[in-house]
Amino acid sequence: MSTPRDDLICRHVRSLHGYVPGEQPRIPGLIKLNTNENPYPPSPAVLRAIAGTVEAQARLYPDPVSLALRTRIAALHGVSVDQVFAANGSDEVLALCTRAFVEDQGVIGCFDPSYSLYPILAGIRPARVETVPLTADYGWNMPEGYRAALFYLTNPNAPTSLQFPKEKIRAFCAAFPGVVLIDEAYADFAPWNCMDLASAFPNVLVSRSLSKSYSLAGLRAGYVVGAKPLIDALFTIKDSYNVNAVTQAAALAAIDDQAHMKANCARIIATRERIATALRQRGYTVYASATNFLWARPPAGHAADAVFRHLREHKVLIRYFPGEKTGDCIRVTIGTDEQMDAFLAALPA
Amino acid sequence: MNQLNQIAKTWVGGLGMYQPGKPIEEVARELGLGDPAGIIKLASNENALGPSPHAIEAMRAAAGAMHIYPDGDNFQLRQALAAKLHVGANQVFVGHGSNEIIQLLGHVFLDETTNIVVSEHAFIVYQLVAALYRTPVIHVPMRDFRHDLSAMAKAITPQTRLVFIANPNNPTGTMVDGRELDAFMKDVPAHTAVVLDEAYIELLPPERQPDTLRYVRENRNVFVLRTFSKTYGLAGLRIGYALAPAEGVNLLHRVRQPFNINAMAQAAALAALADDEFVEQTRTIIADGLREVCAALDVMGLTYVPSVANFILVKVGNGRKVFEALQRRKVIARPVDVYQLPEYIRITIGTPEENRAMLAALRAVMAGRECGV
Ligand SMILES: Cc1ncc(COP(=O)(O)O)c(C=O)c1O
Ligand SMILES: Cc1ncc(COP(=O)(O)O)c(C=O)c1O
Repeated sequence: MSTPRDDLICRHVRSLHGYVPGEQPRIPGLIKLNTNENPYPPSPAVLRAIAGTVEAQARLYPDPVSLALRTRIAALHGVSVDQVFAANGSDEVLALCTRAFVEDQGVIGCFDPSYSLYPILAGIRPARVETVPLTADYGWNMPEGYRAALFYLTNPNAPTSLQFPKEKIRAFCAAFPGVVLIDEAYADFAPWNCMDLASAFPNVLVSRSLSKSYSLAGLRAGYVVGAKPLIDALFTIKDSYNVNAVTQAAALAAIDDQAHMKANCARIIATRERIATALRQRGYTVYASATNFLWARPPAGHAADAVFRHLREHKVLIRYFPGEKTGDCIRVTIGTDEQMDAFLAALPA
Repeated sequence: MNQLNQIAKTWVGGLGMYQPGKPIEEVARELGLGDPAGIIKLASNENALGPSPHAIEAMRAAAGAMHIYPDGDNFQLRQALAAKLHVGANQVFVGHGSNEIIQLLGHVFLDETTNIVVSEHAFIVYQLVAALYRTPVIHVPMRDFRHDLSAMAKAITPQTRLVFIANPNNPTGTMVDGRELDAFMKDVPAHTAVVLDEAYIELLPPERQPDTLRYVRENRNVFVLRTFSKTYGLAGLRIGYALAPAEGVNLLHRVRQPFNINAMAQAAALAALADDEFVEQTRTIIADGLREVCAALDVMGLTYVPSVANFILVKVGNGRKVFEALQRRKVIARPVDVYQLPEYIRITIGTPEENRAMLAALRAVMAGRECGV
């Protein structure tokens, strides 16, 4: 009836493409090792919290500032509650940062390769992305005079599974003029983390996800810790009720049960090391993962995309990122031991 | 350490924040009550009945699979909505409450060179979202607390990208009918999109709901917003949706996060949508409650705006003071001075018991003049 009028739409929106998530196909018997989920259920206390909330709280609007949850997070990290922002998945933190700290036409930085959502989020704003290419062994050299309003520093990095040296991160935070968002979605699987930097620097935020180590991907829970003025800015622009009531209750119960989370992580790490060894024995180059996934280069004669397709035909779904910097490797989420044995068995000979 | 406000974008500090209805726990703390039981919250237009029992059942069943990411595509829910509402699945967009959709619309259409048109007492989130995008707001006076659609059409300028019409409107509880909307849609120029926010529409019997989905099927510049927060009793889960031509839905997809809707909300909404009986029950309890409350207000000699939604705007003199006095009596209503209605309060219709307790408190407050009005 009416002709589409592109001119009505903000310029930077017209050319956007949405994020491409890992496939979620509904194929019976499929082993899904492509979205870095935790194969084990959350703490039984989480299930009790969910059952209690859905009955009594579902009809009521949630606490708009997630006070009880933030208080628990603050205690966990030894910071004050006004240094904590709770979010609808850590993705929401990443998105809000582009709006709170980057003026129109500003620059957003991240490494290449890194989490593929960053450039998409930057594109949603009238902002420019300036990526810093990682070296062949996935380390970094900041270009001379590099500046950005916001830098996503992913530690451990995805999809490379590696941590950067802590002293290098600290020096970067001290020297960088803009906001550094240290994305620690996988920190619970790593031997050390950067949470202390959130209190040490006025320009540093450290974000965490409950999707991986706490097994809550379906409920969308994440948070960020940092200096109060930065946290205040996120509050000012957030959606009125950004974390739903079930998630607030479940996340609180999950964080309360550190023992359950740590036991699950330890199990996943043990499986990870076993599979890393098995892959190395088959000639794969496997990076020393600090996450719940492996980043591995198949041996000569096996192209990474061919391995991906072969596995898919055998009902094992992993992640393959085409492109110059990532196209030679596969990313495999660590599932249960049983799932991982099926993965090994399905690998091309 | 504190030069940090400079790092935040210059205009963020000047933004207003949405003032939500007070949570029960907060009021309990303020009143020094250890136990929040006994406090009646009639502040946020929630459903007194809770969600459909089927929705609760669906959430319980879904709880075991929360370690898996939700379906970012909301496939099943979009199919179910499309089938129920006779639109295409590609004409359905699911949001984290209709609130998120309003913000995403701002992201797609608004910047400082554009403007929006709203009624003077329109739902306040429209103007908060406009502020996020530094967009001027044109306020159009209402007539008898109803949207004056012909005045709104005339207020549209070449820069107007969005006109927001909450129907029924919050906080007035009034609505415009299908004929008025048809006439308005004819007057809207091609450079403007109309957002019909129907958060409360399911509370009306089907024959009184304007057929606005026709505009979607006719491929007009329109976004119809609906929510599971009110009639479906799922405000805590955060889920709503927009119905729009596929082009409009695609624009919203481009600016959303990949997993904006949690899996529990998707499961609950799907089950709630299928329970027509529960919607019917909700309609009845609200209609009966409104009738009883209005009759009591008549007896008390208080003026109110006749409502078709699950809340009512009552003229009490000093709204802020009456709100505070009611709160001391454990009833949470909503002051509406931010809506330029300082003489009024807005009260949600609850269960019959809650309504009676609210009326008793209001009677005592108004008779005792304990708020100095
Ligand atoms: C580096 C990184 N950050 C953030 C996220 C998103 O986490 P959430 O589920 O908390 O939004 C992911 C998920 O894959 C990730 O890999
Ligand atoms: C007119 C109107 N639109 C939208 C909303 C927000 O609803 P949701 O819970 O879906 O974000 C409300 C809630 O008060 C409302 O009154």
